[in-house]
Amino acid sequence: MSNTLRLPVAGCRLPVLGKRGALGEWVVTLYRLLVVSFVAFIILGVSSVFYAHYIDVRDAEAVVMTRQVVDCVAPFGIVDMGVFSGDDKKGILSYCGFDDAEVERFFVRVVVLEALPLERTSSSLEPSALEMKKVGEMYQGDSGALWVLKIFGDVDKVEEGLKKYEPGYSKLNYFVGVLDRGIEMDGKIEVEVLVSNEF
Amino acid sequence: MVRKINKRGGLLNQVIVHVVLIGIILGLFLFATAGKINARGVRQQVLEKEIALLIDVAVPGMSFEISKENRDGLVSEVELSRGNIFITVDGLRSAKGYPYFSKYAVSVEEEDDKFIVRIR
Repeated sequence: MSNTLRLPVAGCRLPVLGKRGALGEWVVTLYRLLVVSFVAFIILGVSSVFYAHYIDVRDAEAVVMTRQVVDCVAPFGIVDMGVFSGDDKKGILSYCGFDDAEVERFFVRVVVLEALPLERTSSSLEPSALEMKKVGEMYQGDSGALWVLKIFGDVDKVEEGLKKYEPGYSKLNYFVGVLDRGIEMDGKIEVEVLVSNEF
Repeated sequence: MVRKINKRGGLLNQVIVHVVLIGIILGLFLFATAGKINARGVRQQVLEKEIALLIDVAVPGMSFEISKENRDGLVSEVELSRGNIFITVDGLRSAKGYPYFSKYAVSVEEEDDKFIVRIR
């Protein structure tokens, strides 16, 4: 009993420490602090490597790619339908001269529409008011990525950590001339570009 | 009785000292890692994405310079590999780089105080 002390609240017994005991207690405290420091260093070090603020430029990339594709498909504002007449319609980016490895993140679809002949006879109509029909389509990339975009579109609020997986997207229309079998007609092209994440 | 109260007070003090010391250590690590690693990583990311976007829109004949003493930090290396651009900022090497796309040949040349990216 002479070496122990009863605490009234906890009801437990603690040793009454002498000078040597107190020194030992501080050694244990120091040891604990070192262990805590080591664990903190590992956790924070590893998490800081994997966590970094993400800057999203994929929407900008989608617009840049859209312009590149339009320049390629409709140089001088005229689409040559001879390009779209082949059997292989899956390689618009390869056709435009991009390296497949550099554009594997992209899904690109180009739809060519031509003004209906009946409407075209009315010269007073603006191109945007003309009724159009689809006359050609080319694409490249994984169209399944559109489902990812749809999922993000359906969800109202996306958690910050998941936001970086939302694809970049651009869909633009350009009014152009469509050259079909030597005859130029009014028309437009719809260019849809989706950029997946780079992870 | 007096001795018992002193012991309880001593225990409480010990716990407070522990909590304060652990808090200080965590805070130091947090600031050190966030300040050094994360900030460099963000500046590196900014620089890589800026250059990648410039390459994306560039046409043949264009070239642009990246100063080694950049506002985003000291740029010690710029490398193009398999459609990715890697930039070392303040000694932090880029692990993944950032992908660019171009129909043209892209190359990097190092000069005394700058790197030059050329589009041919």
